[in-house]
Amino acid sequence: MDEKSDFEPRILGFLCNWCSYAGADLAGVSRFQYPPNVRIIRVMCSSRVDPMYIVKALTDGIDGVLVAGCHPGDCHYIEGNYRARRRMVALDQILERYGLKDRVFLEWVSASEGKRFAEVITHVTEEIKKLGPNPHKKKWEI
Amino acid sequence: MATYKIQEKELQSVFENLLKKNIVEGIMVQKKGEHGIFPVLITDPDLLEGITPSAPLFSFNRAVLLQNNGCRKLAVVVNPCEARAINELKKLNQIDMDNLIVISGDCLGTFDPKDVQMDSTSPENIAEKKSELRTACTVCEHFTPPEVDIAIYGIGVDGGLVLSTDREELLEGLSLTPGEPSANRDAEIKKILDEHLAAKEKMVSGISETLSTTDGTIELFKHCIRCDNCRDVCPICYCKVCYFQTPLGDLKTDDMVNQASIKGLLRIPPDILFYHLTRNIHVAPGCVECGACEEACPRDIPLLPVWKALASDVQSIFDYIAGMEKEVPLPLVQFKEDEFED
Amino acid sequence: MQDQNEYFEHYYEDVPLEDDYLMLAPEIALLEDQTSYIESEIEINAENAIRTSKRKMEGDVLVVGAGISGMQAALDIADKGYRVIMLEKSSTIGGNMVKLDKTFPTNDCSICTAAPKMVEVARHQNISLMTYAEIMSLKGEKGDFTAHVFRKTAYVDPDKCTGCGDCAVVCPVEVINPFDDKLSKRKGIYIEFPQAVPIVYSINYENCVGCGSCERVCDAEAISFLQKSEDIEIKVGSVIVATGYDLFEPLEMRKEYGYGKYPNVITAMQFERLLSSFGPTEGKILRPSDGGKPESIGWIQCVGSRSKQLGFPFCSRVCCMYATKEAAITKEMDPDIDVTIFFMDMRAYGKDFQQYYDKAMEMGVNYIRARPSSVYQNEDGSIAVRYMDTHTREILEMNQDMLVLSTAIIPSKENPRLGEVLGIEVDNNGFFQSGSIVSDPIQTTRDGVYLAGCNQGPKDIPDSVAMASGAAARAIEAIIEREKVTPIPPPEEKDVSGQEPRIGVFICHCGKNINGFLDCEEVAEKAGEDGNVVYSINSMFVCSEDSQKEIREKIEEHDLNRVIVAACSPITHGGLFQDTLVESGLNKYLFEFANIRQHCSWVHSHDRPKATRKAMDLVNMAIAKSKLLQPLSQEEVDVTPVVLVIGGGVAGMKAALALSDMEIDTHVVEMSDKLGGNLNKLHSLFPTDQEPSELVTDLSARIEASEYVTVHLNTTLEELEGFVGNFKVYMKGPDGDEELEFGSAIIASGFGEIDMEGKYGYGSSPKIMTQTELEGHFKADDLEKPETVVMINCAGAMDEERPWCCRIGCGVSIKNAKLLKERFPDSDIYILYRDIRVFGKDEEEYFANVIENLKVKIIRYSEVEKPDVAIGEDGAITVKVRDQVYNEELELPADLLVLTAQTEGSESSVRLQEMFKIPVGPGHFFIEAHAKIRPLDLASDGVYFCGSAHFPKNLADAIAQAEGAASRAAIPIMQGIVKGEGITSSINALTCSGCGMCVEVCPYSAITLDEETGIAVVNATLCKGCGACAAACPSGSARQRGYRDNQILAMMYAMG
Repeated sequence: MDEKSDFEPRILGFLCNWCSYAGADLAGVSRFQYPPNVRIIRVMCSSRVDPMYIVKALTDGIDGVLVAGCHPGDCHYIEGNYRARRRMVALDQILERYGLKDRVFLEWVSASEGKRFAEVITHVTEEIKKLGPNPHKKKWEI
Repeated sequence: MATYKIQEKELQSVFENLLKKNIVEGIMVQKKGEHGIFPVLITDPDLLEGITPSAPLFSFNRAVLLQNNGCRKLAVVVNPCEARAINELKKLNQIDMDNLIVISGDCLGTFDPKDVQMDSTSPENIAEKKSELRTACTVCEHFTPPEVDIAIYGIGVDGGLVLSTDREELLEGLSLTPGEPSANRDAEIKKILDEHLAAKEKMVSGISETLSTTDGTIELFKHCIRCDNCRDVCPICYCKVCYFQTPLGDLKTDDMVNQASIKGLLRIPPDILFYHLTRNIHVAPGCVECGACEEACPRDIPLLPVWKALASDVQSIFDYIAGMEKEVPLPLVQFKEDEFED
Repeated sequence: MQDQNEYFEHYYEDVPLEDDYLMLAPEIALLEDQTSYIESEIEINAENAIRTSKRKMEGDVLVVGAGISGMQAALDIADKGYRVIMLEKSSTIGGNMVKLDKTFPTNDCSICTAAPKMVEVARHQNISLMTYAEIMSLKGEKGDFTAHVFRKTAYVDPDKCTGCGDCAVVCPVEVINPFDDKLSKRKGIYIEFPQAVPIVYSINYENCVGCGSCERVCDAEAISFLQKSEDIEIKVGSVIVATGYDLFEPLEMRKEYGYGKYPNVITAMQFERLLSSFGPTEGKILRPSDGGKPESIGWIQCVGSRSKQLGFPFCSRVCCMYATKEAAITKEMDPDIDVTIFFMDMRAYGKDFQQYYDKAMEMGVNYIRARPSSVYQNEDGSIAVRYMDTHTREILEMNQDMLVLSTAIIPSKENPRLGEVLGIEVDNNGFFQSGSIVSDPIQTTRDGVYLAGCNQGPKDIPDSVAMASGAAARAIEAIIEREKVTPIPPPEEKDVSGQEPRIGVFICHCGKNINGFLDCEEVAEKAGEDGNVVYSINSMFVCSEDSQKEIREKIEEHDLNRVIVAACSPITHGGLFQDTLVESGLNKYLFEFANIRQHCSWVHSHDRPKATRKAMDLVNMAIAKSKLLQPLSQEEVDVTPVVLVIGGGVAGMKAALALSDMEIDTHVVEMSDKLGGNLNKLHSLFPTDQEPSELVTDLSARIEASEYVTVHLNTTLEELEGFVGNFKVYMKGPDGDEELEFGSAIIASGFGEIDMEGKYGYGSSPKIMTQTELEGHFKADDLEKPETVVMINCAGAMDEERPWCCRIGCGVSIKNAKLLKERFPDSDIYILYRDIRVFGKDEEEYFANVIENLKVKIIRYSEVEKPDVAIGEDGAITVKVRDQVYNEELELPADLLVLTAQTEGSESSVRLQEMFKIPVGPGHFFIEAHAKIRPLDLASDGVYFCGSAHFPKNLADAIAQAEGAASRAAIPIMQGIVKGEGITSSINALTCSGCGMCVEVCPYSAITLDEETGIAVVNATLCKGCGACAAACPSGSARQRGYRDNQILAMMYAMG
């Protein structure tokens, strides 16, 4: 248990440029505090996130991955988030078998949802903390 | 849709007709030779004598051979899982259906040619040698032909076969007797299916347990040498150049040293789980569960159960069965606005 | 609970309001009124205080007002290469739209769609934006105006302010926040909302006590009480007035609804603020009286509208839908809340509105047809609403925990003053007067001055945006001969290919905003450890002008070929630093941002070590990506300077004339043998009774006279190739086949009545006809006197098969009823209707007149009990209908039965859809690129549409759209080149298998499979850089420039 309470997860976040990244900015402007565990990679659209990145991250020992995009219907590129959603749902099915599904999150955060962004990050961090470190990190290293 | 009653022997005349009328240039079918039964490509109608179209053998998924089939017209006589792979490759623009006539029949299971005597390879022997059937066949859910040009039914047919097609021009000039499978075909199919489903369930629950823990996953894949055999025999792994052959995916010594230096140690070959998971992502929506990958693995990694679990997981959420229909679009190129909302 | 209460400030007697804007120099006011009692360290120098500064500016078009309409107009003009000077009275642009939570009928987040537009306006090199500025006079004439503008000082230097907000923390003054519609307070120094553009704090002198706290705390030294207001003289060629509207305040009139008296009665705009995630309750619906959760919420419609005595006579157009939206969102958030809307007619007239309304009903929104007479407060703070049941005529009461008043859009109270200043007339309601309300909505009564948005009449966002584009088109005419702005060519780009990355890292303290919460020096040191980082520095304000100079110097000094700034957000500041790179001869894509303020220091302000660690990681990730950055270029294609207009109806004609005024070669293709479209079939127009033939004749003559317009009658389009900038179409005309090359296209293919065969006896009696056929009889003047006329509205409309409202039928039926009544005063005329949807300017008045003075009888029927038509053996027609109001069955004999038929888009829509690769929705109406902010654009670049090809509409809206579409279509033509994105996709042909996954997932049809090789090919002009293809490609053959796999993976490896 102690290991878990000291555990600072490394979480990777992919944010779409138009909604979620702007929502993260708003969280900042509004000074909503959240845990400092997430490292953000900005992409133009959630549909840019290749499921392969997530698999790569997880097999490299990153503890959790968040993908955030515009709410359905709001995509800057018309339909990108619908495509992202299908891919993530398919990925979830696969990761579920490998016991890794709970480490991956898909969320919709709009540019006006600074509070929600902070809540999402807090939630994701807490969930990953509960799971503990990604077991693949050490175990594949002999 | 026209259906005809036909004897196995008469199939030869159907193929002969295709060749003689120049509907196709060649026919891919199995034939018995001195050393056994092998898939062959026949262009000379005189050499059709001795073909064994129904021989329950599977040495590899022949759909891989048809990728980029070009403009030469062919007919292929294949198992349902191969026919599904062909349909799937069609959707991926890898096969030109205009130049291909796909003929497939009910399949009660196949043997690995290296495991069985050649004289025992007729459908009648399957019942006796059930324990020697390929594992993939014992858990197969789609053992009747998918959407093909000519389908051949054996299940629920009293004496002989039933041939079904909506391309009657392919049979022109033949005098065939109309006929249909008997009424209990569906019931017989259901009976086999139930048996297979039960076996599948057992297989899936077994693998689920293994995969659910990291240790189990590692045990499963730890002897992988990344030989790429599973990928090479997979009909759904259609890429001309695989990601793992590109500079990013194919780590050279330099890259490996760089990666090792981040953590101080790198297990080699690197990225074993990444490799398999990536294949899972790419292939699961279209996997036809033929089992070729498992048989190609030099390290005997039980890949079939993994695919059995993942393919149905992924395909069922999109209400899709790989290769069953030619025109239903691939699940990942479409979407609905109001799906998966929670 | 106490805390929650502080959100709400309903009573505002003692607090000054920002609305009470006085046109007085603040310095003088300060001197005169306040200096006597303020305690300030700032000595106000009497000499300095007097407005002496006089600036002169020159531009091409002056845009007054920077709401969504003003912004659209400014962008449309600036994109054409002309200089725009933009005035905004308040401290930020964006107007009312940004206050809204979501927008109907798509439920798009309002700020998400408006914010990119705001940034675009602020960064556009052809737009000079002045906030806090008001126009004081306008002299001269079209082509040569001189405007005097007063720009009030905000005491903050916009070039120095970093938007950090430290000043607001220390400011002791609290005032009511008008942005939250008085539901919250803000400080005396403020930004209106977190995403404000420009992100610069302002001081309202009326509120300032002059304590100087803000000045002392401002590290950027941006605050100066010596900053003077300015008098600015501006010379322009034309003026667009986009000053917006006011919302009715039900304090005096309609005070029976208890607003301002009962805390739980709020306006719809206040409710929007409650719903908004950045509103006073962070998006929670809370009862103002106690901050508790309401169990029921009611809406009262038409507060301040549709009433001569108690407000304004016109329909405010948007309230039915916004109330429906607010109710539906409430229901979505919490299905347990009972929501009820008290309404008179449900004016769900627009595209997808009726469907939205139907869906709200399905969700459980309760609609009660009644205009409540009064309300009172119960002891528990809830509100009892009194209303009359329309069936039983009983007076009922219903309790609501909260009551929302759907207040009307009314003319701004500034309009009379502004009208005088601008020399334009105000109509009897107080809106600005149009040239003609049906045929020239954009023109004011002064030549060269144009209108956009709600200052001409209530409007929905897309109608405002369309009109704004229209105003932009019209404003060009006077300045067309002027030279366009030629951008100053940047210094020649250095070739960095093959060079080892030499990275410069600039870490910003942002005063204390970053350095206060993490250690910038450590971050800079850590960055310097990387082998490729040759220069790493931390400094106070990297965005300041002298820092830009420093960056340029360091690029030179250290021969940097990559630059990283770790500061705030790429969204607000990315462009600024990219410009600095370009000035130094570096490709702008060699820049990378690390967001260590919004994403780090501000959100981890209680854990300095972890925040520092995260900042290091973020910088490290930027370094990792930066090493792999490559210079990118934007594809440029020359444009064929011709516009193709498809359809020769009024929309097509108006679009062609607007293009002609901009001196653009235009070809109009019309299938039939004459111009005029549906207008040729009509006898007169609603609501002016004008004869359309006058309009058609006038427009045809002007088209005939134009040297820029070529008309192709009896011509159809056969085949299309190419894309934006260079299309080619093959047409079949009376003289055989024709080919035409063009750069952009406007689809104005119109609409028609559906086939009524078999509905309501249509086709079985000559006495049963559609409204259009009736118009034909009016034109031919061959009607015999009928004893009784029955009109059935919504015939074939708003049912399962065709769920949309036809938008125009109510007006047409009322107008034709009037015509019949005028011809046959003794005839009885009945209109059977479901809702009377007369929503445009002067329409309500016209309707009231027909009902009151001409005694046309109207009978409401319900959607479940539609009228039944029986034809007797003698041919006599009987219409059976249940009157929903009196709940009685009526049998009406009809000598004439007129069906107001449902409408649908032109049959040619399907072919055009295939040709131009554009989506078509229900009823063959095209689907716009964005329902709110891109109402005239289609998904394919270079293709625009207007008029009823979009959705049925009245003439004024169709014309505003037509002129708007002309403006949109003119942009690529006037730019002369089409420039693609830099971050486009490309395909590695060596590894591509030609599977076509990328083709399928591309939302812009930018990827095709090469016919010969089967390999995917990207059209870089069409690619918008979303990267969907790159994620779809299993082999990594599709790659997005700037977001390549190796760059993203490198960031992952570097994340620490």
